[in-house]
Amino acid sequence: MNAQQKEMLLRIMELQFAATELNLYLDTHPDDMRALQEFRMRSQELMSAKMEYERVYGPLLNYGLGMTGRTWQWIEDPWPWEVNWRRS
Amino acid sequence: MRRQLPNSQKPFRLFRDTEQELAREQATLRLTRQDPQSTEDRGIDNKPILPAGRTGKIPEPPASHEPAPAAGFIQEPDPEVSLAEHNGFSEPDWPFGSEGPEASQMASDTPSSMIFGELATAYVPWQMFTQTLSLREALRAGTLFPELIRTPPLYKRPEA
Repeated sequence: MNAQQKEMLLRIMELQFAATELNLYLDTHPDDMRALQEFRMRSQELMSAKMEYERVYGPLLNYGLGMTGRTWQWIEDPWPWEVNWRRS
Repeated sequence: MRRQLPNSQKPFRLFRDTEQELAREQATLRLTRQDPQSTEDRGIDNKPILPAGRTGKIPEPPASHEPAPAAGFIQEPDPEVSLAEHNGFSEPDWPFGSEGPEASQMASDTPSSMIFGELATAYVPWQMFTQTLSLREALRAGTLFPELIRTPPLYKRPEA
């Protein structure tokens, strides 16, 4: 896994976490327009980041939930536990 | 948690374990309500109004009425013993001051908060959306909201 792929994955994780946090906040504050606007923005960024990653490196999800290229790319990526996230 | 009801040999459960136990309580309550002797000649404190004679001698109060067991239920001995019986002394009727159908009614129908009172009230401040951390800091801190960061950190990476 090269540095760019790792950086894109990290960006997806960050956006996913932010969207989850805003989701939980909006569960108890459904009328907070500022939080809702931030959630929409982060959701758009997350979808764009996922589509861009899958376009370049293959599907993020299996079982038909992700994009599939010309070859079966699902087994080409390293498994999550094989990625070293620590900065060297 | 169990608590002994006043003048009752049955322990009081805060939460009913089975539907059978609920049915037994309701049947007992029904029998108690239908008993005319237990509801008449009662004062405000649910104590019988005893006529004081001219000699000032107060007659003995009538024997307390124990509700008959509901038909179909087998009276089985309860293996649990109250704390008062275990310690060999009798504690005051708590939280009720008297016996009677109202006591059974309260034990069966009243929420426990009205019986025991409020022991404590939790208060959680309402979160306000003020500012957010950067995405990278949020993933590292475990929250998007800086006001939810706890210091010192509750979870720390073990030393390698």
